[in-house]
Amino acid sequence: MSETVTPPSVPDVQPEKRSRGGSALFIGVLALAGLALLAVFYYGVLNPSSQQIRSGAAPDFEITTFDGETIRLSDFRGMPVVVNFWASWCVTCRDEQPILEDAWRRYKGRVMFIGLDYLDQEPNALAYLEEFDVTYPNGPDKGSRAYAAFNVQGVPETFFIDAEGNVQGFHVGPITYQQLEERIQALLSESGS
Amino acid sequence: MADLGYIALLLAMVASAYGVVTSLIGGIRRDELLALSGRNALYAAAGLVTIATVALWYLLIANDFSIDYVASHSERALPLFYRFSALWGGQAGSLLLWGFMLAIYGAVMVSFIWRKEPRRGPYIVAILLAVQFFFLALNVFAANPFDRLWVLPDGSTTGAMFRPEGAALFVPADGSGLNPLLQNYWMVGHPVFLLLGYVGLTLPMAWAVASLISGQLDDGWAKSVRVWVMVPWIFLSIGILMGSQWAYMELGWGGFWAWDPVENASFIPWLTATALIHSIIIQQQRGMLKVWNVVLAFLSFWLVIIGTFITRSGIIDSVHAFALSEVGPLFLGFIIFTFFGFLALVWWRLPDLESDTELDSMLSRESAFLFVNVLFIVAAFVTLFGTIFPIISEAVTGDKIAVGPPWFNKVDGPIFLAILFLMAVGPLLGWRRTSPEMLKRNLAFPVAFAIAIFTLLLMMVTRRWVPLVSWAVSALVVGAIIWEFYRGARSRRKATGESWLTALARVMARNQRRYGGYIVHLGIVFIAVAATTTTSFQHNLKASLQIDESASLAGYTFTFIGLDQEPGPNHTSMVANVLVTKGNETVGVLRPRMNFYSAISGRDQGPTTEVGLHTNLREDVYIVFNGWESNGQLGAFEFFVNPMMLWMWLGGIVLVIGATFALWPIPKSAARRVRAPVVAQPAS
Amino acid sequence: MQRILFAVLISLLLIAPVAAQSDDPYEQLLKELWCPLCNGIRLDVCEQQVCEQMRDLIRQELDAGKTPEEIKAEFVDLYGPVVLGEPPREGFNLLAWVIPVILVVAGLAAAVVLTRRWSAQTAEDEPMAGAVAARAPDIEIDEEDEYLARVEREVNEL
Repeated sequence: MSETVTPPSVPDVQPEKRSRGGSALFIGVLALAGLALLAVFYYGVLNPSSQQIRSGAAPDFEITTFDGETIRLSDFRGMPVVVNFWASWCVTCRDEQPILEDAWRRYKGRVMFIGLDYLDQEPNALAYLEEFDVTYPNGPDKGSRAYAAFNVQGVPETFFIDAEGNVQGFHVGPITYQQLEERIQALLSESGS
Repeated sequence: MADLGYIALLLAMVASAYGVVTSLIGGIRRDELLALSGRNALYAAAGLVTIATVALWYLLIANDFSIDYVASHSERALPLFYRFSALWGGQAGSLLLWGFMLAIYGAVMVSFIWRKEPRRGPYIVAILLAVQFFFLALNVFAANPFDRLWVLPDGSTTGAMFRPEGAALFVPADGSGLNPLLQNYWMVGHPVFLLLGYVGLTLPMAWAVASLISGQLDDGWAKSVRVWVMVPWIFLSIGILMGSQWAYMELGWGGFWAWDPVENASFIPWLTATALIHSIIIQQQRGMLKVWNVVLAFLSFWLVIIGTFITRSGIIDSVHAFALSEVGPLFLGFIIFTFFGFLALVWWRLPDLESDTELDSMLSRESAFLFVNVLFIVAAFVTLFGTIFPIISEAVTGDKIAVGPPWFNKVDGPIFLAILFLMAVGPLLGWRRTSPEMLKRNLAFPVAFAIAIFTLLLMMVTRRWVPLVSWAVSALVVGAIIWEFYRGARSRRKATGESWLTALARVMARNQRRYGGYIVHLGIVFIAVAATTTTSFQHNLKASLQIDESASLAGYTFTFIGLDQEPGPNHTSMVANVLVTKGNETVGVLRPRMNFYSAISGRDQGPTTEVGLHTNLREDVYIVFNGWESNGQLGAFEFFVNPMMLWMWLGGIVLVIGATFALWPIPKSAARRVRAPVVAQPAS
Repeated sequence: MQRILFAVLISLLLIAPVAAQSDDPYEQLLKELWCPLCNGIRLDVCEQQVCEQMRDLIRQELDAGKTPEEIKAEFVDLYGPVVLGEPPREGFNLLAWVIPVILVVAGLAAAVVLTRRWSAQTAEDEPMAGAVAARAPDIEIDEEDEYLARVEREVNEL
């Protein structure tokens, strides 16, 4: 392109310097607001909500089971714990429920099982537990507090906690017999050593 | 073709970088040749990005599944139309479209202003190209739409531009299809308009920053920037309304706005852009609010980037789930960089940004503008605050608290009502000062009108004060607008003796911005009234109906008459036929449907619903089909009657008409004709 | 007049819209509760199975004689404040309610202070400086266009 531009000779705009008056205050307030915003984003990026607890100490929780017993996760320190999040309205939870109950009966005394009922109603939950003849402790996760603490992404989801109370891993979606066996063996071998 | 696209991207990146440097140096040294070279780099980059975009379109339309993006956003059975729109069906494509739009916007604007803006021009080019560079870099380094599919030695597949160690090219037999939620005509237009709005807000920012760098902070920039704010603003408004229309038609919950983070992300920059449109008028008329305008222009752009960051980085949950990706941190870096860069620039130029004039009176149009500006900004920040409050509460208390529609309605609602109120009073105030007597005289008609409407509604419709107050304030605005049109036409008629119609047309044509603005206000009133009315007086009913069984709601009777199965190109629709009657009159057969998309690998989205809708000015009859049992003998429905919903979309059309009228270039000759003191010509 | 306008403005700000109303306590309660799984979907229009079960529970408990307030409290306990769709007005979450009010008040106060100060300054500077006088009155027409300026001036001096 051979186009040339002939700018009209604009005199340099040089207004006499004045002091930074009230505008400075305005800019200052704005800068503070912006910094606060950036801090929030920075925190958000460092703590992505979309990831389950993968390792480290498992968040403790206390529930009142449907049998009226109050239990805490930390009560079972010294024994591996399988924590399962479920709900009566959850269709795929039904696939894994018999598998979990079966494993509980076989490993009773060596591995603890706790079921946390997510966003549910007592009558529906009781009917569900009865249907699958579930015998390990189950209780409502009130206010979805444990669900939030573990950063669960959806039911069913199962967390595996070793004897020291650390999260060893988790499984998203319905678990199969094989997968559950492997996880439990891993929990037992670790606490045995 | 993929290579061509990729090379074009790379070259565009080089051209952008080159253009930034030459434009800056050219601007600072007043070197015309360098500046010209920078401008030409912008044109070159625009051409190259266009080539890349066309290349991706070609690959999508040809269904070239060797390309990762095509394989994961298209399929053989996808209709041509949606293959075309698949360009913005995924992140890499959306980012490319962003760059493409910016290139076109930039080239058009620069070609218009280059001769008129010898000082600012090079800086504008530099800013545009810097933003362009950022988006191209995202495409090249983080989300490349031209990645090929490879199969790795361990059997897994991956997308990459260049051959990973030991990998072989992989071409799947079919693609995994476009997200079914995006296969809807509203969803084809909505992202395009929204993006045109978002991207366009780069333009006023470029003007503001260029003015800061060059030190030309007189009112000229406020005058020149107007059209480059208005155009993106119109697109953004259309985009937001189309998005709510999509939510209304597809999500099937009878509402149009859920204060979801993605929705808020589009609304917040709209608020600040609207504030900017109003405050540049004050600077133009009165030389005030210079800092404010520069800040607003930057803020609108910054909030667009922030909105994109919030919704794409996964820091907030949203129903409009976007894929999480690595672009989040890059956006955050860009946000931080632009923030400090701008702050430093404003601080440096602050002494030049003092107002020319001072305010004359509290009771003046500029003070009304000032207040409405403050309210817009407060609304923007409050909405942003509510959107990110879950992160704040999680950081402090460990609990991610939900901030939903009730909070936003309670907090934003009163602010909007106050804005509506100023919308009525502001235009009746004169610049500089208005005597209370004159205000009283001008308010007489609007107030009488509002009281009349209020009384009428109180007696005939409802006693609930929320809709009543909102309607009364809306009526006040309408009254003020009518009064403004009337007194404009009257004074012209008095001076020229023209007929009412001619006088009105002429006075409007000579004060396009003013009357265009009033028409936009009218559109906003439509939207406000529709939103209040439909949320306050919505009727809904869930029912499962046997064939020939009926349910009734708000005077309508709904009879389920049977289920049809209809094949589509890549889905099967189950369509329920529902006969709708009102009293003895037949309204018609509405056909809400569920679409089941053919096995799409790796996606179990479930069916999408499309509502059955009968609409008129009074109310919408809206049916959602939720499922069936017993071989189609039993259908599950939710029926809604949504009053005045149509007014929302009409309001959108009025708004666009008004804004376009305000901008439309009426030829100079027409203006000159008016100047001759001829008496009444017939309106034509 | 200024005071009255301002008072009207403030009183408008105090008005808070409420949700749609219904005579049936069941319908009414459904309109005040929100799906805990979805973003911004009311319980009465939610299609999730969990909402279906929540609606059933509400129906049963209303039939059993519980008041809507009791049910609401129970739901908050059971499902968390998410069912209210808004942060509870207590503890840290009170901030979600206080900060918007502070922002509105601070913004308006700043605007009032600014207009006051500016108008006070101009009152001292009277008669107006050339910069102001040179500006065209309330119009956007070309400044040389005397004809319409006159028409427009008449409009302003009604």
